[in-house]
This record gives sequence, C-alpha cells and structure tokens, in this order.
Amino acid sequence: MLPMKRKYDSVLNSSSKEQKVLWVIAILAVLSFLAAPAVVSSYFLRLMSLTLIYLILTTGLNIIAGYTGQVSLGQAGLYGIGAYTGAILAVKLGVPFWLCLPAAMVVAGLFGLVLGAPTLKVSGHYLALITIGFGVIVEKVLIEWQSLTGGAMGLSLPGITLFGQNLSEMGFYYLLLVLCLLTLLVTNNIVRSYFGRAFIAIRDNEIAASCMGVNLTSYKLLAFVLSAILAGAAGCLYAFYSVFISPDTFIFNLSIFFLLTIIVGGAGTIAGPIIGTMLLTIVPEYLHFLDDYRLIIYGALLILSVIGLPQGITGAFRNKFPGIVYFAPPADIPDDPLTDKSYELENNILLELENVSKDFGGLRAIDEFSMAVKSGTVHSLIGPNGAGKTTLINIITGVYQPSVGKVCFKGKDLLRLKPDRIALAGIGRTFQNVQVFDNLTVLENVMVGAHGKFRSNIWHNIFRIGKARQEEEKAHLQAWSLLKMVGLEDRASEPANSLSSGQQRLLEIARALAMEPDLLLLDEPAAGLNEIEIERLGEIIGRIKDKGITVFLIEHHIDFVMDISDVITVLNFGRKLTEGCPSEVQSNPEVIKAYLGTEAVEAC
Amino acid sequence: MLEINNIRVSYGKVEVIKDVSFHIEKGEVVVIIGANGAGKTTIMRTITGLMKPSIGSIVFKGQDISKISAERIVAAGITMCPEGRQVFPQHTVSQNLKLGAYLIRHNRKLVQERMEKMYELFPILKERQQQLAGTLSGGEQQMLAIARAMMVDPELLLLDEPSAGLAPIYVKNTFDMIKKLSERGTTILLVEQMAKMALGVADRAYVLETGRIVISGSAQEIMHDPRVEESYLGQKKS
Repeated sequence: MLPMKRKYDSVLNSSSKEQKVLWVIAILAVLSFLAAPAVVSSYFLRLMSLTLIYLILTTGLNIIAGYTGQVSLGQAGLYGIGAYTGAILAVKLGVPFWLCLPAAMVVAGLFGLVLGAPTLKVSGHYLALITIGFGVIVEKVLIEWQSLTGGAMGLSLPGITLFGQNLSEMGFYYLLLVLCLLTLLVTNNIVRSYFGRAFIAIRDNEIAASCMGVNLTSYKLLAFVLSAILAGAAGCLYAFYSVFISPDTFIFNLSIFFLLTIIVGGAGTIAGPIIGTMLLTIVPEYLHFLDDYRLIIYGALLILSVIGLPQGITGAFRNKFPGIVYFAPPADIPDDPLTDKSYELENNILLELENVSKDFGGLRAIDEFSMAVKSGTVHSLIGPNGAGKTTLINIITGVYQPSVGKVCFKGKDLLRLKPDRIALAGIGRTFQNVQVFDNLTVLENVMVGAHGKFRSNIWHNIFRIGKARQEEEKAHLQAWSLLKMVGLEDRASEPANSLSSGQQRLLEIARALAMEPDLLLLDEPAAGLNEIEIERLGEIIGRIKDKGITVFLIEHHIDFVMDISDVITVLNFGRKLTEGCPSEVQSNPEVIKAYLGTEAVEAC
Repeated sequence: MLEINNIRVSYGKVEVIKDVSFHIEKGEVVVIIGANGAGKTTIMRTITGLMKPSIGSIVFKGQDISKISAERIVAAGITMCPEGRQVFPQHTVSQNLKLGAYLIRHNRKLVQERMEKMYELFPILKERQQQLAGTLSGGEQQMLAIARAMMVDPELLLLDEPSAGLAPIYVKNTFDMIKKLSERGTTILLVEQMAKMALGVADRAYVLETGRIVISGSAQEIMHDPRVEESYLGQKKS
C-alpha cells in the first residue's frame, strides 16, 4: 500500500519504517515490470500483458467489492461490453483504437449505472445474484445478436497503429503498463480522498455513514460506475490485444476469477488486486498439466484463502506489520478545533418536534411527543430504559420516519428527508450502540465526519490537485485537533475497533464534531466511563456549549445530567412526563417514581 | 479458587495486559476497577477463554485453563454475563433461560429445576416468562441476562459492567441482585465503572491501570485510598 503523503520531500520524515520498505518494494516492482520485455520469453510477455489488462479490471472491481463492500459477480459482462464496444466500432465503423477506448469506457460506465441500480434496494447475496444474472444476459446477447457481434464465430480486429506504424507486442506491453500505472495512481488517489473514505464508511456501517452526510445512493452508484469504466477499458484493451474476441471469453467463470483475485490478494487495499491478479494469472499457467483441474484448484484456493487469510494476503501483512498504516501527527496540532456558532445564538428554537408518534407494528414507541430545543443550550432527555429515547434521536436524524407529527430544524421541515440530508443541514449525532467504522483508522473515522465540508469534485481528487489537496489538509488538521480534544491523538493510526467501547464513544463525539454541526445529539456518551472520565466529558461538553453548539443529551448518569443541563425532558412509555430545569425535574415525585428511585435522590 | 499468574495478553502487537496476577477465593465478590481501555474487559475475555494469554497461567480449581476452549471453560464452571445485557430480544424470557442452559440441555429435569430456582430468585421473570425479552425494561433485561448466566449454576460468575446504560432506578436493583447471588454462595468477579456502588457489594478490589494492577486490597481500604478517591471516585460536588 502506498502511503498518503502530501509533499514528497516530507515523505521520508513522516513515514514509518514499514512504509519506507513498501516504497522500495513498489519502486522495485515498477522497475522489474519496465525491464521485463528484455528478459522474459515472448510467451511470458503475453502472460504479463494479460495480467496488466486484468489488473485494470480488478483494481476497478476492488473499488466496488473491496472498498464499498458491494459484491459484484457480473464483472465479466462489463468486460465483454467494453471488448465488444471497441471491436464493433473498429470493425463496423473503422474507428481507431484511441477513440474506441474512451467509447468502451463510457458504454461500460452506463451499464455500470444499470448494474448498480439494484444496490439501492438490495445488498449482500441478493446483489451477488442480480449481478450474476446481468453477466449471463450479456453472455447470451453476445451469442445471439449475430448481426452485430458475429455470434459464436466472434469478431476479428485490426491492430493498433501509432504514428502510422503497427504497435508491436512489446509496444503494446508498455502501453498496458502505462495505462495500468495510471489506473493504480488514479484509484489510489480516489480511495484516499473523501470519496474513498465514504466508500469504506458505507461498507462498514451504512447507517453511520448516512448520518455523517454520505449519500448512500450516489456513492454506491459512483463506485459501480468507476468499476464498470475500468472493466470497459480492460475489455477494449483485451479486444485489441488479442485481435479476436468471441463470447466464450466473457463467461461467469471469469467473473468468479476476478472476485477471487481480490479475495486472495486482499480486498480494500491497493496492493490486494495486484498481488491476487499476478498470482492467479501467472501461477495457473504453470499448472497447465492439470488443465481439467484448474477450476478445482481455484476453488481450493478460495476456500484456503478465506479460512487461512480472511483478509487476503495484504490483510495478513497488515496484521503482522501494523506500522504499514501510519499517520504522522502534524508539527503542531491546533488547540481549538470547534467552529464558533455563537453568532447564530438568539435563544431561538433550533429544533422543534410537534405531536410526533411512532408505531412499531402494534407497539407505540413514541406517543404524541412535542418538544422545543433552544439554541445554545444543553438539553437532556432522561427516562427509563425502553422509554423511547433512542427512537426519538432516530426520528430526528431521519433514520426512522415518524408515523405522524412534524420535526422542524432551523424552521425547516425535516420530514421525509434522508439521514444524509439532515446531517448536512447541521445535525451531528453519536450512537447508543457504538457505530464506528471498524476498518478505518481512528483519524479517518473523524475525517468521515468532515465529509459534508468537502467541495472538490471527483476530477480534483483523481489527480489530487489544488482544491482537493487543500481541503484534505484542512480536514486532516481539524481531525487531529478533535482527537486531541477527546484525548485520542495517540491512537490516530490504529483501526477504530481496537479502542475500548468508552474510547469509541469519545471517537464518535469527535467524528460528529467534525461535521461542524449546529446541533449535537449525544446518545449515552458516558456509558462505560468512570467518574473521572465523566468529569472530563463534562468539560468537553462545556467547550462545545461555549462555542454556541446546541447539545441534546441522552444519559443515565444522573449527577452528570443534573450538573450539565439547562433543560431536562423526561420521557416515560413514549410520552413526555415532564420538562424543566434540573431542580424542578429532580424533585418531581413522578420522575422519582418512574426513573430516579428514592435512593438516587438521597444520594444527591 | 481462581488464580491468575503473571498473564500477558496482546491484540496483534499491542500488549493490553502486562503481567497481571490476582486471585479469587471461594464465595468472594471481587471487583476490578480502572479507566477506560485499562484492559478490564480483556481480563474477562481471557478468563473465559475468548482470548489466550501469550504467557502466564490461569488456574481454576487446581487446573490450568489458559489453553482450553471457551466452551470447556463454561463446562468447568465459569460463566460470563457480557457487557450490554445481550439477551435474545426475539425470544421469550423462558426461551432465553433455556438457551443459557445449553450445556445441560439433555437433562430436562435439571433445566426445569434451575428455571424454577431462577423464578424463585427473580419473581418478576416468572411473571414475564412468555414475554419477548426485547420488550422487557432495561433492568429486567439485566436480571434476565444474569439469570441466564446462572442457569448452568456456575461456581464463578463474571459480570462485565452490569450497570452500564441502565436508568438510575435499575442500577440499585442490579447491585442488590449481585448481593443476593453472593449470599447464595456464588463467587463473583465484577468489572464496573460505578466504582462506589461496586465497592459497596465487594469483599476485595483490584485497580487496573494501563494493563497493570496498581492497587489491591479490601473493598473498604480501596474505597478510602486517596489515590482511588482522586482517580476513580471523583470529587462529589456538594
């Protein structure tokens, strides 16, 4: 994996030892690919060319299946569409290769959009089945539409001409090498940008991702389209390289092969497809004497790989050498990560719920609940377990739609808005059952929170230029600063799931603050913290409040709630029991009976 | 009854438990307190066999259990009630209890007997035996989780943060419950953030700091230890 670095002169200073070793390996790998034609036989060179073609495709497949976690078994279909688009344009219309390639990418990209559409409804094995269906349809159409595709007889293509000369075998190899390196560079840039973080966030936790402002629909479709474009490019290159194509190349087995390269190599890492593709393309060639058994060996490899190396070869390396993932802390971390929102303070009503009810089946979880949260306050919601507190937060953030009632934020109706739109409107949240992105580092988790702050488009990020770089640096610095505020800056480069549950809660607060919200919803932030840590949490919430950020808090540590709140609402059986300042609520006999218990009051 | 000798436990390269030793006598309630990420849950997971120490031994009733599987450790007489209750929400109360009795499932009479015992101990669960566990209040779910762990009649019960996420009114009940189990003769190892309440029901306590035990003593001593007061009990505002 190539580490992300902004300035090349600073790479050496800010990389871990493991990362430096990886740089050396990457450079050596590129050099050996450059030198290969002088050394290897022409047969082996053809094999290497084929590997490069496959690698363009599998790198694309990795975006959707590895990073975004949406399994596609229809990639051979997209590969075929790319190949036939190129071939038909070249054969029927005499279009030169240099125009066929982008055309194949566009056409495959459009089909990627079609293939991606079902992800809006289904995922997991249902999606895998749908993509298999897609691949089968493409295969059959290629056979049956004889007037266009030549049917089972296939199509023969002209070669590529460059400056009036036919491109030689070696020339083609270098062309493929350049395109392949370009693909890797672009993909690396995308997956290390906010786009890539959004992809991984979707894979790890869709609900949390959408509550950070990630539009699930468009990012899943984008991932599908990117992978389809690369599959189309690989298909077109294959057509021109082999000068003859027929439908029996683009079969379901090939889709399995592609997915297998990623699983064996390591899904969701840049090096994964490289290792997997090289291994699975070149090794079987030396097993030719087993020809009929090749698929059996693939199958065995898949089984062994999943059992022995569940995260593939790169995953195993990453576990062995955790220093591979390392973010050097910036020279000085700014002390104040919070944006001042106090200019918006006019003691207005920031959030208003009117007669909200929510039914689950026959159960009424929330019953005609109304509440107004004033800006600049710490407003707490308490009540027995099962009273409906978390349901209320899920209604506010759009995870649930209320059965009846109205939710207004800054005077705007939030009803029927998706969680990502509500997040971008200025509501950040944490989760009662912690929902961090397990496979992102602690630092990257916080940066996902900043998702909505990025304005650069995909073109900026493909080449990591200007705006994209500035925004990335800004988000990076802010994330460090937020981690320092919650005391997790020492853990920045570790995967989020290595934190204890209490630390994950603090990470969620930092992540939500990276959204620069006007309203912060905290769902039991003190659970799993001891008294001293709770005091520190109180200080953090105090700093948040001082910046004019409104805090809506669900919490059971009653002393903490009493200390910190301006207003407390008490919920019982989905209904509002009472509301008022801490002292009023604390002495309310009904609250004591339903929630506090007599002991707690005596203790205070 | 349980003796932990110089164990070290790591996640990958990160060593979370660095040379920890402690012991539990039969019939005691022992509490481990410590900051977040100090390694409390890791210790629990190691005793129950979900994680293996890289070095050191865990001796339970004279037998080293540090290398045997989690199922066999349950069979040997150690059960854990995990953090966050984790009842099966779509199963009824009685089904949850039966699932807890998995190890003795072939002895239906014994299962029935133990269930009756649990209902006797927690009468409210009897009232709710046909109700789905997901519809119980938080306090009742905690009760169910503990009763479920008790179905195999463990000699040592591990409780991981039983009060976490509970409304104040249930926190008290939970500690009452722990007291009751202890009076019946169950040995208990407790991990808790509510240090004061936990020390109230415990006989002895250990304080864990970044993977090391830094203070140990009777619950009374620990409660009045100035270091503990400062770092874990907090200064109560009057």
